[in-house]
Amino acid sequence: MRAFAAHVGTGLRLNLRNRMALIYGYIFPLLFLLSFWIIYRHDPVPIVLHLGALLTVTALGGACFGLPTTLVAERERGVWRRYRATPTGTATLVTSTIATRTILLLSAAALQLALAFALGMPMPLHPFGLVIAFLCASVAFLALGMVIAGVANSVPAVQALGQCIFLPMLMIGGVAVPLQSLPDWTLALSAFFPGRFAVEAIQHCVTGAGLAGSARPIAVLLAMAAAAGLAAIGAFRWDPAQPLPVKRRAGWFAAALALWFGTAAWTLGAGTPAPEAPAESLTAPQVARPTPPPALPGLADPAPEPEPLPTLAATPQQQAVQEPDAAAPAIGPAERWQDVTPADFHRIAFDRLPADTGVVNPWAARGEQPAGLIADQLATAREGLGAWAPAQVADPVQRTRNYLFVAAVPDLLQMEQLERFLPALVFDRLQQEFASDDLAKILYWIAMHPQEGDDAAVRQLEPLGLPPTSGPTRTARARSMVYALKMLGRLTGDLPGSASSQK
Amino acid sequence: MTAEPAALRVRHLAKAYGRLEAVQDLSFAVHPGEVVGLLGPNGAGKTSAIECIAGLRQPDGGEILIGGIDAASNRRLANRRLGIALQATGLQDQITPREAIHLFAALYVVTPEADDLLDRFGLAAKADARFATLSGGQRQRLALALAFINDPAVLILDEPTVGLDPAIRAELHEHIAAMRRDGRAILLATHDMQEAQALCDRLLVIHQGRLVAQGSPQELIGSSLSSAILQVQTSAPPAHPPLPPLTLLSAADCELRLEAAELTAGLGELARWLAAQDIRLIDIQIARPGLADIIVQLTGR
Repeated sequence: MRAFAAHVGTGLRLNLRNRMALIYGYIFPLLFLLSFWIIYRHDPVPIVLHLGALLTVTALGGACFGLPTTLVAERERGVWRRYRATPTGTATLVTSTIATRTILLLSAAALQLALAFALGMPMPLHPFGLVIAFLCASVAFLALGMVIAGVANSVPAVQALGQCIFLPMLMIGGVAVPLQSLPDWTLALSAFFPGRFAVEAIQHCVTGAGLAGSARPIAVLLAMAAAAGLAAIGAFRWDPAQPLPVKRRAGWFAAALALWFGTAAWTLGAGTPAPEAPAESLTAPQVARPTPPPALPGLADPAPEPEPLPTLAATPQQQAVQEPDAAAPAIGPAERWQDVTPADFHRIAFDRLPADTGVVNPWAARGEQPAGLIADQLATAREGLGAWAPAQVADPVQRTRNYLFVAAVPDLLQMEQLERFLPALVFDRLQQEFASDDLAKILYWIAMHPQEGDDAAVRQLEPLGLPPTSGPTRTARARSMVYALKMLGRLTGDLPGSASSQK
Repeated sequence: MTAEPAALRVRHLAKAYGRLEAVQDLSFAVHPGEVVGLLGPNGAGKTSAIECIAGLRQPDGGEILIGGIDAASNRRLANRRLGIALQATGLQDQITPREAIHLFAALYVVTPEADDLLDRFGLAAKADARFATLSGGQRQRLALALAFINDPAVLILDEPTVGLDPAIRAELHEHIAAMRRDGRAILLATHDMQEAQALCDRLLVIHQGRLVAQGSPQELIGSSLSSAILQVQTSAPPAHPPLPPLTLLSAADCELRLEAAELTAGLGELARWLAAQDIRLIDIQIARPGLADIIVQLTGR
């Protein structure tokens, strides 16, 4: 125990003295946080929905680089050979190394959270659960870091190997880039990396149901930690001159691979029927909670992972119509769109919709003129709409829904400003086709029933000069819902700042 | 029961890397108060033997007893009695000698007497300096201090003075001599003959993993003490070879190399041999073989 404590103490002290380690361990996570804050500055609460990704990146960086760099550098110098000649056992030295790194990761995360609070982030809903989820993620990543340390022969090799794990996990593993904007095969791939589950578990504790909702990602994290731990035992070396004992420890590697593939297969098979639903939690209580934070997070969230989906999957009335007055009853049970009444509209918190100037569901300012190329594209779209098959559908609700996709899909694809002008174009068109009263009812109906109806129109945008997509339509429906509400707000004059823009 | 047990005993140690047999059937003992030198050219198997004894490698065969404890079955207990300074001990750049001593004291589960150790090994002034700023000599002194931390009965020092300048080397030799006076058993691997001759009570010469000779430095030199090499210059080349105890090793015109199995008789035979041919002796040099020559002779290098 004394050896354990002394090794942890020395490790922490030396880390504090190592300028590079401080920059990588503490400054980088803060820079990451600031850049997320800048990217999502237009969101109502810029950071809270990305905290899962941010904390995961911190843990991942410390585990893929911090731990193996230090361990391999020490091993190259013969420090571990010298340790080995002492009466202290391997298990003590390795667990104390991991404990040291866990403490460092926790302190980096605490610093990151402190800055987030300073920038106005509200309290996470489940602080205790957050610590547990972060610890589970840390252990899974640190075990992976031990594998890197075992396999790499030198510090440059750690950098190379670390990047090979860090970057793919960030880009296509569901950490920094939302899986919704990636092809389906990445979803299958991401099941093999712990990153996605770390984001999921942590985010659930920040804005979701807490540990109760993240039992599955945490189980996956722990299983992957065990798999990486087995591989790390197989790959552990005291001496840089000793070759990787692949044959001698084949059993450990085989067990690690079996557990790893087993876990991934379980995630792919059991809980995740369709690639469109990577998350199991279909209740998104963060929206319905009386806590101050995110108003319509599910809608505002352009990025990480499964959060936007629950908003749609759960009873939409509860969420979209969140009333500041918590005692207000849920929305009236209109059975047909014709039964919707203007009284219903007032239950909508229009002030909580994403800003028109934001990245999500943007809407160009009234007098703003599109630049040359964009103007051409808009003209093409406007002409195309005349003969567009989905615009000929008889059912007014379905037709409106189809029109909304024309604005929603380019918004998802982030098309160089074009997406900012399309909503107004679609809105004009709708106002030409429907009486204002009817249009308001239809828009309200669509917003309240975002999962209803057909979404085939998403794949038929080519005649309008817009790119065809085959991606998941869930997010397109979410964006349609927000645009429907923004249009409704413009019609009723309830959307803040839109009074001048309404007819 | 009566004989004092060896502090370190190695029996039939064997270690191979693939087909390379680094150590074969190596047996020896080191007693308290004794410095035993492990000598041999690079690649002879010194380091492999030491790594097996220190527990850094798993031997393929044989037995290692440290203070009577079987190292194979009780490595941790064995390590408690073992002090070790590896060749070019590296520590973390940021650690200070004082911290290193505290850390290793904890790893050996002993109470550190940090100030004592720092004083004793001349590190008091550098106690709180980072390892990266220490000189080569200071690093080796720290390595010795760490080897000493658990007050070990057996010390293993692998090339402790390699690459250091003579003054610092002499200082380290004084430390090692003091450890010996304390009654510790010391195994010292070196390929420095002067160091071996100056410090060691007994030498083990190994070559290609095998023990080829052992004894005190004097014994090893003495085993060939009676013979001598004569470098002779004569006025004319000799016509026929000399009689024993003189042997002609080589002859190039008037430059002769002869070996005298016994020096006095050899010189008598040289005078008789040259006079009989009416050849005059112009110059003569007599060389006694040193430890280095003996090692070369023993290991065929």
